[in-house]
Amino acid sequence: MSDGAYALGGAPDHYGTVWMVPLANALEWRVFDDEFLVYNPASGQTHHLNLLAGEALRSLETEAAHTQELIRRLADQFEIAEDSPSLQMIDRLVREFDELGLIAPSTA
Amino acid sequence: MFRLHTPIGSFVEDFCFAYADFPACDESEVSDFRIRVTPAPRRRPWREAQARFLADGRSPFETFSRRIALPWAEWGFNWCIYSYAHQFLIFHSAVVEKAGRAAILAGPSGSGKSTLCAAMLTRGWRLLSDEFALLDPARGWLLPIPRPVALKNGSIELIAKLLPDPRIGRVFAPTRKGRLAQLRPPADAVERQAEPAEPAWVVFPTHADDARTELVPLRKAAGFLRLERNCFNYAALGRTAFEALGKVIATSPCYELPFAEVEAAAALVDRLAELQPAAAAPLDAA
Repeated sequence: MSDGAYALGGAPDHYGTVWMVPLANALEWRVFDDEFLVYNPASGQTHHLNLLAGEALRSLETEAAHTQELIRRLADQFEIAEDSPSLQMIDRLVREFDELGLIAPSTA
Repeated sequence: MFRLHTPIGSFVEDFCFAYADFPACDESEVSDFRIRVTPAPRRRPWREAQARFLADGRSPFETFSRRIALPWAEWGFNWCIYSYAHQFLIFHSAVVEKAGRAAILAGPSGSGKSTLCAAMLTRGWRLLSDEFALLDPARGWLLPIPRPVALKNGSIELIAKLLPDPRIGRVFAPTRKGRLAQLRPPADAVERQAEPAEPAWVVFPTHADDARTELVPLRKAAGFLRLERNCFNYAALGRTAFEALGKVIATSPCYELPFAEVEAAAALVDRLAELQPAAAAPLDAA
């Protein structure tokens, strides 16, 4: 997705992109209470994620998905509606994961 | 282990006071660093007599006044450790131990960790280190490095009042950190410098004259990130650092400790050991 397309208000063009955690990332996890710390050896960075963000990334690590599929999975997991406010930020979250190098488009 | 050569008499005197209880090694023993503190030429005639610090021929900083050579040598020793000792995860932290369990007092320069560390010694805690926590990532132990405690400015007189015997050397002033004096490590800490300890508490002290002195529990994820920021070689150790730090945080409650009165702050940390007494036998580094 280009930032330009998103800024113009159109549907994000990566909505259909299937996202995955690259195998090379081999993320390391620590879970403290409802907070996640994830170390990405590819970047050398440690990220602090809240419960929803942590579960979203873990879901993509388990199996690649496009954004709508990820929203569906999280809605099932947390037993909330797919259009609930907390899931409306998933698209933005996916973009942030992408910018941080935590996920990449699946080439499969 | 350092092998130190110097022809500067005043430095020898200061060094011998601060390290009086340390054993001298045999000439034949292998040293980790070969240190020279040597006279350096004055760049301008009106400047004080100068000295230079060399570690294996490398100098981490410019020349300095010979009169304050010991503080500069201590900073040089620090440089050697955090630049080369990557077999350890190294935090900017003081560490004190009681009954085999260690409190990591982490924070940047000026946070009050050395003052708090010195105050803990008056309460029966053993000095593991003033400047660094050296964590063995494989075993999860903190290794002692009981070098002199660097007291600065008002803490010099404050700690002098608390200590039963005069173990504080002469005051160096001015230095780049103001007035500075070295507190000689207790003989017991030197004798037990091969005896590691398990991390048990992580405390982030912050001194402020108007602070309310209290231990404030910190969420573990926040404690992890705070301790990571105080780590010298997290990036160098990568995954090993993440795992080792995670284990420390998993087993060690984390606290913020704003304080105005160091004795009150030390009493609060002391209380942690009373509430969570040790059951473990002393660890054997050998």
